[in-house]
Amino acid sequence: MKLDLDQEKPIFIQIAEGIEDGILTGAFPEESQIPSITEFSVNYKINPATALKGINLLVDEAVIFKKRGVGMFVAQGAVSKLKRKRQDQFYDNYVSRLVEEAKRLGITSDEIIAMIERGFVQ
Amino acid sequence: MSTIEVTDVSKSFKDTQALSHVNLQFKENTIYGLLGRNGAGKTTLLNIINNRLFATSGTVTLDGDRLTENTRALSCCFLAGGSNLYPEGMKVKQALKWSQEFYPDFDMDYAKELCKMFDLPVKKKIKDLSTGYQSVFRNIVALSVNVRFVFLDEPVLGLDANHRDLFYRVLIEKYAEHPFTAVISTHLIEEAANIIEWVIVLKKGEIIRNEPIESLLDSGYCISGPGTFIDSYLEGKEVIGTDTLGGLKTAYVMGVPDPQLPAGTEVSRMNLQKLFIRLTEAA
Amino acid sequence: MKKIMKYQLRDMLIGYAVYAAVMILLTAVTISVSVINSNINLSVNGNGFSSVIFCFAGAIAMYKEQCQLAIQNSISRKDFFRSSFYVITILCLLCAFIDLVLRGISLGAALFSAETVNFDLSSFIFLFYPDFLERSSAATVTIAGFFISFLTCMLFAVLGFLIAGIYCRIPKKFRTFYCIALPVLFCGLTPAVSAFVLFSPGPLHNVMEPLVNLILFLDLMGTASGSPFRGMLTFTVLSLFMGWICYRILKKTEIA
Repeated sequence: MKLDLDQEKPIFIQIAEGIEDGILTGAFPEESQIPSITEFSVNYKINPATALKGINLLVDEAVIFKKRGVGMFVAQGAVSKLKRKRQDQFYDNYVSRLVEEAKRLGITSDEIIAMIERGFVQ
Repeated sequence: MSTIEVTDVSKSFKDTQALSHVNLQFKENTIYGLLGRNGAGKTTLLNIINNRLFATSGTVTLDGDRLTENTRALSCCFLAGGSNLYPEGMKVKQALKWSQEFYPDFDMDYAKELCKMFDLPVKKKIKDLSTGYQSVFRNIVALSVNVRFVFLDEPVLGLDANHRDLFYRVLIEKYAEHPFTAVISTHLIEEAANIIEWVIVLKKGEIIRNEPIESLLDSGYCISGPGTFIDSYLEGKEVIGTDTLGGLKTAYVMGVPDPQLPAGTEVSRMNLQKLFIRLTEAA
Repeated sequence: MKKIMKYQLRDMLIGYAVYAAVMILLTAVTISVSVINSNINLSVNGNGFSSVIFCFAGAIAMYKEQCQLAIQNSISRKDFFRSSFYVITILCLLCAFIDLVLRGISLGAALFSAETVNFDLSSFIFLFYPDFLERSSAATVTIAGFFISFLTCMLFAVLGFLIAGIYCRIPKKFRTFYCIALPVLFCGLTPAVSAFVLFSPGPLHNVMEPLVNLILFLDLMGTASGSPFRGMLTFTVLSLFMGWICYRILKKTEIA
């Protein structure tokens, strides 16, 4: 999980998204323990409060749950929950920007569709 | 909730006004960043809070008790300053031992562990250590005393990249496991930006910013694009600086970006170092 | 205050132990040689001053380093001063005790050899009070001697403290000058100027002479009346006064 500390997105959101990616790729399987706040903050040299904020986003979405005295775990059904969330956000995160750039470069929608189909074949 | 209150503190030396009417609060369990250019007054402020210098006017209190010349209140604070105040001929090992005497909650095992991590030669005399290692030594003591308020005056001064990295890790780990208040004055803003929760900016002895880091970074934005578009956009706005490269221009603006931006321009977040440079440039 | 006092005591006692060992060894060797070889008369005069010098130098050394250490470790200047005062009092008491021991040794030696050897500070001071020595019992002389030694050491210790205190207070650029000027002033200039002023005719002499007469009249050291207690009182008052000045200076001292 790489943090771009200079980037637009606030770090706590990057932490949350990074953990989400980890869950989706299977790096953090469901019901397994994720690293502690201390480990996250030390590893990325960020304030623990920031790391906590990011993780709490996921706790609020019931993707992560905390076991007192033990640690933090990936919830059951987290993968499907996250997939649905990202599917909903797909248009805003990817498509609208793609279309904007295409318009800037004068690429037609047919050409975009052809490119997308090519992408799925490869 | 323990708080250190700095109330209307001013300090003048013979020919300079080092601090003017400084009002600050340091709350429990928070990491503060004290930023300022060389000569802005950071070290003076830290020295006044920790009873090394006396304010010309104003007071410093801890939970309502005067902090100046008050051993009991001062024992909740520790300053890792810029100068070596240990006796001539005192070795690192002895200094650690006496620190344990002076601070009952001093964690000797932790200190020894840190000495190993940083490769600090414990049998050497403090004055014989290099500048970098003197900083390392002071930091180790500061991290081991376990008091409520730890003040670090340029803790990474003279430290190589590895030791800087290690210092931040160790600081964060300690803070995550046993929260305390750390007030860090530093010039290496980018490195410290992600650790700091609350920013205090000093300019020529006056506080110009004193707020959480998020709100400071959200208080303005960068807008870049073709020079002409940017110039027209900037009309009537509070601009704190601009960078020009040929026809491209980047402007640092306070406030919130307009909902409608000129074509070809891009808005991005300000980073702390750039914002700091702009804020503290000579007017 | 206890924490800094622990450090100061430890520091001081190490120095004192060395000093005491050296003094006793020196004295013992000297006496043994004198007594065994009765045709050789070794007398160690003036080593009573060593206590005074030790206390003086000790106080100076104590001040700067320990003051900075105290401030570094969150001890207030007031607590540092209190602790220092207790420690130099203990130091001076211990030096007076050593003085007593040396006096005992010298009196013991007098039994074996005809020469009286003045080893200690109190003997030197009693030179100024011959009547007192004659009319008082040995016990009174011993006790008075102890207190006189103590107060003399105390006076010089506080003086050392004051000198160090002024040094720490003045701006760095004046410090070298101060270090040179102080001994020159006390060992060179002041006696020269005083002699000049006292013995040459003229307006200054007219001012100085009544002043000197007044001091003699007040008999501050009690030498005229033959009472060492007056001298002790003067020393006590002077010590307390200088100590008070030290405190005032320390309170304003900034460490950076």
